[in-house]
Order: sequence, then structure tokens, then C-alpha cells
Amino acid sequence: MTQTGDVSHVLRAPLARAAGWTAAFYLMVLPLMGPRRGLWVALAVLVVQALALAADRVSPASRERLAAALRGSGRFSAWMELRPAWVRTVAPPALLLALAAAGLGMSPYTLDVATNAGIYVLLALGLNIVVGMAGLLVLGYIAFSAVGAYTYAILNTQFHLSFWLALPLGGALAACFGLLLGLPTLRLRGDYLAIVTLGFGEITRITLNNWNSLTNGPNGILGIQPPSLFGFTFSQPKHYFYLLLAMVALAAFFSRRLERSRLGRAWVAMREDETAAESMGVPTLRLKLLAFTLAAFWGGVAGVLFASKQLFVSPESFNFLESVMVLCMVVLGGMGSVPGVILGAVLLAFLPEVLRGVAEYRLIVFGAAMVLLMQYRPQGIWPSSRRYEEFRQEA
Amino acid sequence: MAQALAIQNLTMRFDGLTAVDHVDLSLQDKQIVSLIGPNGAGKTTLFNCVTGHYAPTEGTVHLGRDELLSGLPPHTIAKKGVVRTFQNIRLFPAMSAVENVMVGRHCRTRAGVLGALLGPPSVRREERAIRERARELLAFCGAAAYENQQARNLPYGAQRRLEIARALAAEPRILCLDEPAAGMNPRETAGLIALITAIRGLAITVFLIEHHMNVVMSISDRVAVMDHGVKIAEGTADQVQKDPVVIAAYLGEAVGNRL
Repeated sequence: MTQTGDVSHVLRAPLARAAGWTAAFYLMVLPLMGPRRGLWVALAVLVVQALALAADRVSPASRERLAAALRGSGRFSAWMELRPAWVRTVAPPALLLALAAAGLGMSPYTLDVATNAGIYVLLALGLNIVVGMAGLLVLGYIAFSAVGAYTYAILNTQFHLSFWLALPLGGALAACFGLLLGLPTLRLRGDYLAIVTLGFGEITRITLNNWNSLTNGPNGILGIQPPSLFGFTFSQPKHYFYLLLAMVALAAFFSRRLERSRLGRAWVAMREDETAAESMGVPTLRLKLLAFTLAAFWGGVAGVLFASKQLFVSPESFNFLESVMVLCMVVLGGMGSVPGVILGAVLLAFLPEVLRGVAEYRLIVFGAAMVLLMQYRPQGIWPSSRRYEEFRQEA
Repeated sequence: MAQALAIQNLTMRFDGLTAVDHVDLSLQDKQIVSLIGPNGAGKTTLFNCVTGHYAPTEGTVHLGRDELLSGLPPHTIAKKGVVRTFQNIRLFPAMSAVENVMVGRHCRTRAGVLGALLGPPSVRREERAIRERARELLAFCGAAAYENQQARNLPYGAQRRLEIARALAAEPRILCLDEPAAGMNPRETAGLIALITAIRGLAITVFLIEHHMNVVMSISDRVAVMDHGVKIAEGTADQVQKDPVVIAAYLGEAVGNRL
């Protein structure tokens, strides 16, 4: 191989850098938008670069200020961490009530989007147990949701199994899959575990796609019955909205409990230093398996809810992008922080709807938003704070 | 006096290198036993074998009279009562000091998933007891002032003490301290000597790796010396200090021969 030479000194020149970014964005959108419309994106990037350069010239501090704004003003963060205990007790039920009341006035479309967001919140809270609390990177998480969804779809269409039985059953079956996957793989660390779980996600989807006799292949399963309770059938978006609201409240409550328990503490310790945790008598392998199984359980439950809402399941709904989406929600919101993860999930579930106006460009906007956030706020929107607890202890 | 720990014929080989070479060592209850030797003598490797981080190539480690430890995973060995600290401090940096110690209580407490989710009174009581005990231990180790600070922000000496408090939280029968005085100033070292003596007062056997000779010589009931993976001497502090083999190991052959 020939030596290409160091080009970094060229990139340091502002103009060269601007040209570089413009070219990079142009190439990125080329396959999506074609050579001509892609030029508009390139132009926009160039203009933004020029503006940034100009702002830098006028006031070199402006860039710092932008970064600081994204990082969050210190005052708000400080208040969040020191907010009085009563805010902490009152806020969650108040928010729940407010949402329940808001549900009465929402249009069916909004209710539907909110219900979908609720399913994502459930998934994100589940994934948060394993990624946020235990610190294990899992990439094929949506597969557990597929297990739950197909459990309900198959058992309901074949044996008329009721939704309320399917809910724990789908979760339990997904948990079994989690256990089976976790037993051989949890000895792997970091990247390797991520790759294995990614493989598991794909295997699950491909199996669902090809096992025609059981899953009806790519055509999916139609004719799933909606849930009903004492003769009342869930038929309108409103009904599902309240069902999901209740489930999310339950999941959030359990997540919080878990986080503050002896197990939650051991997970954090394991995440911080696995060797030290093991030496202090924390059975790390068993705890990883537990986190994995619990996360899979919630994935399964979310899957049952998904199937009961769509009344149709197909392998397409459980592709890799969905796993990535849920992971983004956890990371973006703040790994290990229950309110953060909920916020991340709601934002990412609503964002595509809000961005519908810009149609096919929305993925670009979406990506840009992610890059900016991770650049300036890598801890997430609402990071978990251990400090608040400590201040309360002192008081 | 009863036997606390018996290391028999312990050997640890890494490919061609024999880090620990057929070492026999036994610790009696409530003793402070120090393991000294030049850098690279195999002291920490021996610790790693005792606490389960390495499975020894040959030989055995027994707790008490007949409880086999070698081959078990570290968390099981900790639960059986052999707990360690690390040469390069390994705290949970983002957790507060008291939480670090609370993690040490993990293997002595039981609340599981259902307990965590439902939070019955028994679990709350246990959680309160964990915190209380952790606070006591912080105070015992002289780190009470740092209770709610993140471990990473503690001064160096306090981090060492916190690590000891965390290990004590697991209720060890044998506490293995890997160079606890490393990097400490004379005042901190004096405090550490007092702390280790107090720990023995709790009827805990202390197995100590240390380079500070004033620590080793002032508190050890017995001293074992390793060099190149082999135990070259064992005895009281006085005996070891006068042993020509030990002097040779530390100061070089020529000096040793002249003495």
C-alpha cells in the first residue's frame, strides 16, 4: 500500500472543511434524492457552513454558546436534580392524570400516534433494563416483541386465547427466549454480545418469514381479535390509548422500583466495574441473565399489545430498524433514566409524524438531530441523576 | 488456633512463565499475614488464585479445614468469606461512597425481583439495614465524611479506605488487601495501620500484600516472602528481616553473600 499522506492540515482550513461537509452530504443523499435534487441539500449545507463561519468571525464565542444551549443551561439541570421531594412524588401521578384527561380531547389520529408511542415507551423501558441498568448492548431487541406478538396472533386465531391471558403468556415466552439466548451468550462482552443479539433478531424475523405453516410467512396473520373486558370490546383508538397508558404507568413504576432496589444497585456496580462487582460477591452472570430475561419479558408484553392493536402481524414489523429505533430512544433519552427513556421514546415516536410535512427528507432531519444531540449531549436529554437521592439523604 | 486458609502446592503458569511456583502457605485465624517480595514476584497472581480470578494450574486453596475454594468463581468465594481489595483501586466511580459499600452487602442480603417490584415491608427493612450497616462501616473505616460523594471525587487515601469498607460489608472471614498503603503519605499510612489492627479486632484474618516495610513489620503476625514465584522465606517479621535469602532477594546476590 502506498502512503497517502496526512490530509488533516488541509481539513483544518475552514473552506476546505465546508467543501468536505458539502460533498459528504451530497454523496449521502445522492441515492435517495438523485443528482439534481441532491444539489439543494448540498447548497443548504453550504449555506449553513457559511453562516456558521460568519458567526464565528463576528463572535468566536457564539459556537460555545450554541454548544452550551444544547448541553442545557446549568440552572435548569440544577433544579431538576434538587427539585423538592413533593415534586418527585406528585409529578408522575399528576402527569398520568393530565394525559388521561388529554386523551378525552384528542383526535383519533393523535390517539393512534400516542398509542404507538406508548408501545415504543414500553419497549424502551424494557430495553432500558438491559442496556441502561445492566450496561449490556443488545441490538436485536425487537425480536422479543415479535415473539410476544406472534404468541398472541397464533394462539388467538387458532385457539381463541383471550388477550388477558396472552399478555403474561407472551411476556413469559419472550422471557424464555431471552433466557435461552442469554445462557450461552452472556459470557461475551460488549461488541460481541451486540453482534450475537443482532443475529438473533435477524434469525427470528427470517424464521417468521419462512415458517409458512405456523406464521403464514410474509403475508402475516390476519383476523386477530381485539381485547375485551367483561363484554366490553376495545374497538376505538381511545380504548387502546387508555390501555397503553395503564401499561406504561405500570412499566414505569416497576422500572423505578427495580432501579432503586438491591438488584438495580448491583446492575450499576456491574456496569461500572464488572471485575470489582464479581469480587464483592455479586453473581454477575446470573444478574446479566436476569436483566436480559426481564427486558425480554417487557418486549414480549409490548408485542402482545402491538398485535392486539394492529389486529395483524407480519415479519415486516420486526425488522432491524425497529431495534435500532428503540435503542436510539434509550440512548437519546438517557440510559438508565426512567423519565429520560420515556421522553426519548415519546419524542422519537412523534418526530416522524411531526416531520411528515417534509416527507422523504425526514430521515435526514432525524439523523441530523441525532448527530447534534449525541455531539453536544451524549448523556441524553434527561440523564439519570444519582445525586438527587444523596441530597435528600442529607436533609 | 484454627486454620483460616490453606494454600497447598499452588502453581500458576501462563504459557512459559511460571508466575507462582508450588507455594505452600497457611493462615491462622485472626492473624495478620503479610506477603512481601520484589515487584513481579507473583504476589498479586497468588491473590488472584485465592480469590478466584485465576484458576490455578496446580494445587489447591482451602478455606478453614476442608472447604475447597480453587476453581470456584470469584462471587462464590466472596460469599464463602474471602474478599479482596485491588492494587489499583477499583471502586464503582459514579456511585456514591455509601452505595459502594452497599454493593458489598449484596451477597449477605436476598431481595429478588419480586421483592424489588412489590416492595413488601421485609424488603424495605432489609434495604434500610443495608444502608445503616454501610454507614457504620464507612465510619469504622474513617470515611464517613464522604458518604454522599461520588467515589471518583474522593481523595486518594479515602478511596483506599472506601475500598476496605466495601470489602468489609461482605462480612469476610479473610480480608485480602493488595498493597493498601501504595501511594499513601506517612500520616495516611499510620491511619491504615490502625485500621488494619482494628479489623483484626473484628476477628477477621488479614492477608496483606505490601511494600511499605514499616506497615508490614509493625503489624504482621507472620510474613511470607516471594521471589520469582517461589516462597523463599516465612516467619515472624524479625526472622524474615534477618534471613540472608530475603536480603539477597531484595538487595541482590552480591550484598547477600557479603552478609
